[in-house]
Amino acid sequence: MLWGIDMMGSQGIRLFITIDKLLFRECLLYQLILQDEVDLVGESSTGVDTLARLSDSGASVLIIEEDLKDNDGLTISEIALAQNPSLSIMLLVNSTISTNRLAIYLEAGIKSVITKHQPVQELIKALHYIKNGHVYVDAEHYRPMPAAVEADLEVFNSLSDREREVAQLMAQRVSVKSIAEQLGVSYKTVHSYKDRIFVKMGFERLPELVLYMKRFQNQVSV
Amino acid sequence: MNILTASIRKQSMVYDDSGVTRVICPQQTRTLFIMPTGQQYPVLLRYDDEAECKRFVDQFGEDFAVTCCDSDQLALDFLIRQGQEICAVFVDLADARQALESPLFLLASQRFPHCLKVLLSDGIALDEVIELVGKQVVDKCFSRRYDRDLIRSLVYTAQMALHDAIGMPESQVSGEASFPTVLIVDDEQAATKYLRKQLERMQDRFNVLCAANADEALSIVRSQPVAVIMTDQRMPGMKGDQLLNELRRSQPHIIRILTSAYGEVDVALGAVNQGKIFRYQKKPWDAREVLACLDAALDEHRKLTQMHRDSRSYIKQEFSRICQTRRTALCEALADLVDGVGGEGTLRQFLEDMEKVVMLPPNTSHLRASGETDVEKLLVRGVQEELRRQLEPLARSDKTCWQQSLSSLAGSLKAYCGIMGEASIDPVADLDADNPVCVGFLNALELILSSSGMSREALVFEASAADWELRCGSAGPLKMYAHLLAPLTRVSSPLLQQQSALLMLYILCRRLGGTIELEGAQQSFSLKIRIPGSGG
Repeated sequence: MLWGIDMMGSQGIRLFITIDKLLFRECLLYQLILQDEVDLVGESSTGVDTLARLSDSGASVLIIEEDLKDNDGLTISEIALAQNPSLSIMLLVNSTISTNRLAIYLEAGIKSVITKHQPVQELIKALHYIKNGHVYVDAEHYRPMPAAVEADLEVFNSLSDREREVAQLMAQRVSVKSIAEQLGVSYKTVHSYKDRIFVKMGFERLPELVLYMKRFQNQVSV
Repeated sequence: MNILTASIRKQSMVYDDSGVTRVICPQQTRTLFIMPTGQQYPVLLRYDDEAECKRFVDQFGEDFAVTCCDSDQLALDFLIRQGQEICAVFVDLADARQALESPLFLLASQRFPHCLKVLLSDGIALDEVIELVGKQVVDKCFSRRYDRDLIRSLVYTAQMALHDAIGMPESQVSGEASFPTVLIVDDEQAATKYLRKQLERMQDRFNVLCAANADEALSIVRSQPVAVIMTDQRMPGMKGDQLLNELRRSQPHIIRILTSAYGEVDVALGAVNQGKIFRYQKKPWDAREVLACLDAALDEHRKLTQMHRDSRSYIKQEFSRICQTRRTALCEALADLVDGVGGEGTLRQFLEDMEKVVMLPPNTSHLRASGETDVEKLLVRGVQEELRRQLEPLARSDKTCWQQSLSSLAGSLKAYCGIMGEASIDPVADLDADNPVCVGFLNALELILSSSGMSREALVFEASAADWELRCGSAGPLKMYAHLLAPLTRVSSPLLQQQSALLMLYILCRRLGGTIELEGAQQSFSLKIRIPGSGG
């Protein structure tokens, strides 16, 4: 625990996002917009357009893809930083970069580099670091990953039988009311199960649980 | 007593000069620390308990080059020798209260203010933390178990902050006067006025300005150089910590001091933890104490400014050397290709014109990219390949073909710019597809326009009896964010394509007996192409 880190009044994240492909941009936005503090102030698919609109948007955070069609995302980032040094920039890159490249990005003023191979939770975590101007580097990412499936199993096994049952029902999109009826418990009890499941599994929202359960079940059946 | 340099992968990196990037400044033999390659930041750990030390190294040994000392004396010796390069000091004592008197923290804050001071401890009481941070003994306190991501992120941020301070914009430093300005921000205007009078009476080393709120302070800071800012926490509107946080990011060279009355220590703590302020000054103010604090801050500001100057001139010099080498390599790789079609001097004109387009000044990331990665090689090879690809169709063009293209190009361009009635939907497909010169020319134009986010309406075509002209119209100049002689962090395909396309225009214009003129500005340029012929 760090004392005082949350004592500052948070000023929210005024997000500008520049991603070439609309499908990718929208999928990401559906996740990001669910974050309490995130306010979307601009989106774009090209570097030139981003620079044209960025300062008027009052953005505090820019998420930008490195490979844009019209210009290099990193070059665009450098210019955006020269115009507004307090902007926090997250660069999305296609594949894992070397630590040497990482040093270049950080020296250029990029606050966080996320590859498209990383889970979205990692990006959200990084976003919360960089919103206040901190640098975020996921050093784990530069090392061999432990077997993720085993870790997943361990988490799931840490749930009690009843919690597992509730988790499964919730993942099937059964409403809290119906779950309560099915299990013969109160509405409130189901909610407390739900809270406990989320805490234990480190989830914040239902879609995470649904996706987890789908993946989990498929792996189990294999 | 043992001193142990525990970097798992790179043994004893801190002592070994080869592992650390050093920059020796030309005029003075000051060493600037840039960033060790391989991402290992040097940190110092002073510990009591061997097991804790081991745990720390297990957790961070791959991220930081950890030097562990089990006594103050060893740690002090090390810090005195290597302090310029240490970005964080961690202290993990059996009795956390000893940290208040830790000579290590004291030395770090006096001599190496850039260095992050972190106390690691179990079960430290909150009021002790408040005392520690309030007295500026430490920057951060962590109790076990540590959030590894957070600690890592803090150390990286500290390293980058050191960097930010070095890399501050020229304009913000050049105004640096021998008579610096201190800005005091507080809504109690009677108090600031009184303090200002006292300070003015006590010294003639600096100028004192006052602001009654954060907005006023920000507008002063934007309009003139300020060396030190001291702000009260409690003000209407933007609070002191928010003001400092804003300044930390937008004007990192201004030294930041926070003041507040007793009872707001928690806010001060937050500001210290988040904002990396230089000092925390308690209220009510004692003019003598404030003066000492301001003098220390001004001293720090002078040091930072000097460091920045040294590093600026060093970077400039290094980059011009890189640029010289790159120019030679480009000429070797491209001269035959370019001048072979466009005629003697085409490449030289192109490169000279590129230098007219003003880019951002180089910084250490560019030096690193050029020096430690294969950016230079990729650039030369990339542009050579791209150009070869674009020139290939022209190889079959004989004299007649070039002759024909003179008239058909004018016609194509007329259509392209929408002079002939309605502009067609796909102008490139419309034109004389048999003529590789026309195709090459229009493809190049199209690419240059699209990388500026512009369309062909941005161009003006004008024909006279003897020649025709193509130039940028009222839509303004074209954009260029990087070019062959610019500081680069990466070789991207948009860069290669844009530069090759522009180079193609130079080649074709000159081959057709015309001229091409480029007017450069800040990250933008205008073109004027003039080619003899009837203009269709």
